[in-house]
Amino acid sequence: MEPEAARQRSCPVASVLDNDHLLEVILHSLDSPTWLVRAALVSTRWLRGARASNPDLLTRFRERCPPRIIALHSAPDGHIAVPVPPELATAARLVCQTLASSYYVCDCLDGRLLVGNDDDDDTYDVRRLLHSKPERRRPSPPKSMSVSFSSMPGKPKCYRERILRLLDCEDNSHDDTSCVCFYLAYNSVELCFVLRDTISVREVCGHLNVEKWEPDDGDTAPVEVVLVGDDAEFVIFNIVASEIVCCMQVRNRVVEKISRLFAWRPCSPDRRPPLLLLSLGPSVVRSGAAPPRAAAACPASTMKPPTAATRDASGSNSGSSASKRRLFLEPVLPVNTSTLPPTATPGSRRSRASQDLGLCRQGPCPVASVLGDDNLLAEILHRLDSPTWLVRAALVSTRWLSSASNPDFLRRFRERCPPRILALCLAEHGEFQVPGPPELAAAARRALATLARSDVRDGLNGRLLVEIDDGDPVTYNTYAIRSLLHLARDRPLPSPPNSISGSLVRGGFGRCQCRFLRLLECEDNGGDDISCVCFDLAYDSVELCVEFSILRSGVWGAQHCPVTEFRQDTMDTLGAQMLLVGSKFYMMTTLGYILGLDLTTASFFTVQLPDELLNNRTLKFSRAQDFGLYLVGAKGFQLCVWHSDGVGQFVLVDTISVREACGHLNVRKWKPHDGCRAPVKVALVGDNAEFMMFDIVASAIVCCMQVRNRVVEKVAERVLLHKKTFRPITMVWPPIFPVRDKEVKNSESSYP
Amino acid sequence: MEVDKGKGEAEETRKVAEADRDTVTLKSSDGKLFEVSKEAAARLSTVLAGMIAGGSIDDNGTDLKQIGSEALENVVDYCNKHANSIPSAALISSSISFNTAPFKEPEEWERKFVDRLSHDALFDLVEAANFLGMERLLDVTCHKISEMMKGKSPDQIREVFNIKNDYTKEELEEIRQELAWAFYDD
Repeated sequence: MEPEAARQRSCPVASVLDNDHLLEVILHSLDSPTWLVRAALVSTRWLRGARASNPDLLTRFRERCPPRIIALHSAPDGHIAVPVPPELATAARLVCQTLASSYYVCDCLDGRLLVGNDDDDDTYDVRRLLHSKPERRRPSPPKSMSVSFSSMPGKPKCYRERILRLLDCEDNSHDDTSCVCFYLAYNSVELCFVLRDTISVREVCGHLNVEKWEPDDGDTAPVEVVLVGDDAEFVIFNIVASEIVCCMQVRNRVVEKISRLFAWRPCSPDRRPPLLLLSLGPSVVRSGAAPPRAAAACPASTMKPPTAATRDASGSNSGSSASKRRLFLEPVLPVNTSTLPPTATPGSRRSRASQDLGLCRQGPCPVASVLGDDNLLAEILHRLDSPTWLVRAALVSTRWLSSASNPDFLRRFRERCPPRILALCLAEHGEFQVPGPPELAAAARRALATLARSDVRDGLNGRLLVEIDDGDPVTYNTYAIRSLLHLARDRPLPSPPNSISGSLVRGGFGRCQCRFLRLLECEDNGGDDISCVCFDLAYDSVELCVEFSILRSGVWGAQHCPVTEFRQDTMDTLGAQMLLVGSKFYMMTTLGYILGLDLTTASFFTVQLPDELLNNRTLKFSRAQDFGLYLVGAKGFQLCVWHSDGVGQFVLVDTISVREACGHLNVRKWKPHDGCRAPVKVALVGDNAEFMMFDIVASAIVCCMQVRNRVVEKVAERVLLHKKTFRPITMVWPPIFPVRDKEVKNSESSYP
Repeated sequence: MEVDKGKGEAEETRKVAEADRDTVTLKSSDGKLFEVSKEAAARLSTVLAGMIAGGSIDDNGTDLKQIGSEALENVVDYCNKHANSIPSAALISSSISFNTAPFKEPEEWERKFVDRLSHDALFDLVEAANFLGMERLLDVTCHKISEMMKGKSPDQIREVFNIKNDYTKEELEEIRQELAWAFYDD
């Protein structure tokens, strides 16, 4: 049987190409900027598809087909052509022409070239890499601007320290001849690097027949990185022993030999850059057409043929385009295919459409009857495997929404697809994104944007408790509640009450005090979502006093100051993990138990740790869904997971072998030198122990594991996580679907 | 139970069935007969297992009025392939975690099996698998349909599956703003 969709359309080619999304997929797979440009010239609609109406495509296109190196420019010797695929040969010729007439090249950025002048050291030209016709344009080049050095700040004597670089003109506030003149000043900048990838040179260069790998004197490094492309899209490296210079596309590990190492050496004393790289990216497409801003501003729907599908149409035009499509499809729309389960009355309500088409089908249209069955629909939605796809599916119709927002369904969905960690907040290094699937990239970007100008003090399923840090003295030391994925305004908290507990602790010698705020779970739906608790800890080596006050309905409640004898090192208390679960506050101790405080009764209790973990210092615990606790500890290379209802004993529920789960990571070294330290340290455990982060000590690798399927990804180098205070920012769950007024009335009739 | 005894095909099938008691004969809604290993049928389908155990299997073809011949052919095909396939080592070793319902990704051959199906055949097969209580086949086919939705916008999904948009413009806009992270064009 022909697919339903094909039956309705006379010409499959037209219907595929009229679908913007399919067109985009096709354009996306063109694999070379040359083909993309040519395709863009097919029609205005194709141009829109290829161009700035979706920078998304260009981004993805670039991911699939990163800019190639076209030529190398080496200071004294001019340029060296690099082998390119035939479709880029013309571009390469143009580039070489441009380069041939250049005295020296200072910089190159996305097709713009900053070149010095042969006869005058103080003038520079900005050229377009693929546009210039040097002979004709040189006298008064319309696309280049001469910059006189004398008009620049600084003294001409600083000659050798002068560096010119092109400026990115992404935000349109600069024209494309903008550049920066630097006078070198030495400065150290602290950067955080996250290990993202490890590549074996020997493996990727297997096809090159390298004669010799190891240099003669065993001391020289066998591989030298010469140069890294923008976005680390490619890497040029030198295999020292054989003097081979290779270029690797990082994306697919394809390595090509570029040249033998000959004339050029890194760090030539000459002021000209020793090596310069010219690459060709999709910006060519942009430069050939109208400026992207203008295109984005013009409403996309006006020129769209009425039958064309709108990809991700914005709410304003989706209604109209949907109604057009509905009209268009009306004659063949299966009417009354019914929401009845497939077993009920087959054929009795046969669709008019299939009769008209003379179809010899017994039942209704299979698509409609499967998707019309609530159970089957839930089974299908259950397998979408990402909250992003679930939300999109929920927008298909109100019936799908009610399926997707069913609490039981959401619970099952979470089991299969637990919330991912999006970012980590580090106390002094700010926050960084954790590698994740592309469909969550937008969410992660939003999350990072939300975190700006604040110190995150606590996070609970999309609610963040932040301390405002925007440099304004008025907001100093104030707290606010923020919603993770909404860039709405903060809801400020009234300032917490002053601590009164200082005098309650007896010892007085070596006393420590600290204050922190924690979000309160609003599980009963009645609690408002700015509810939180302010804790003041006062402790010495004899006693511990936990003073707390609860914020409800915008008012801080009465302060309670329970005191307990709590003999442990104050340093241990300082670094202990503390967690508020429901109305119970837990604090790790080194005494073989977790100290708990019940906020409703203001009384302390203890939860015994499992015997085998008594001297284990890398224990971490996390919330469990039933207001209990999960406890994760490492025993050698085993990660053990215990569960407790929050009061009673811990029970071992899972054991995970780190070596097995990390088999694919090519960990170089497993055991630490000294043999006494634990080889694996638990760094962090997510809610419900859905994910955990751990540190392979000997190799300084921090990994994140999805406990559900044991999938392990490398997250960072340990250096980053030395600081004790870092917290994960995880995806919000469940998605908050708005409650619809008409939900009850409409639930039966939404399927046509 | 209706049996079309006049049909040569049926008699031939019955002979085979008598010779080899390891199989059961299934009859589609349009009267075609299919044979499938009893062991595989009982293992993969709770409904067939119940019928085999309850003795309601007809040697001349157990009537499955809900299932068209094409879908039934695919069901039988799946059962046979499943009997021949060796579960890949990776799937066996991936241990089941404490905090989740066990589930397995479709195997390579299962992916190929559903990939070659047409749109309608796939959905017919979902119904057949649902009717026969074939959990694994339902899993694989539903997975395939969800693959068809992943990465699509609501509009595209509506179009692919021919679904009427019954949201009001305001409702759509509200949800899109509330859950903007799910849309890349933010």
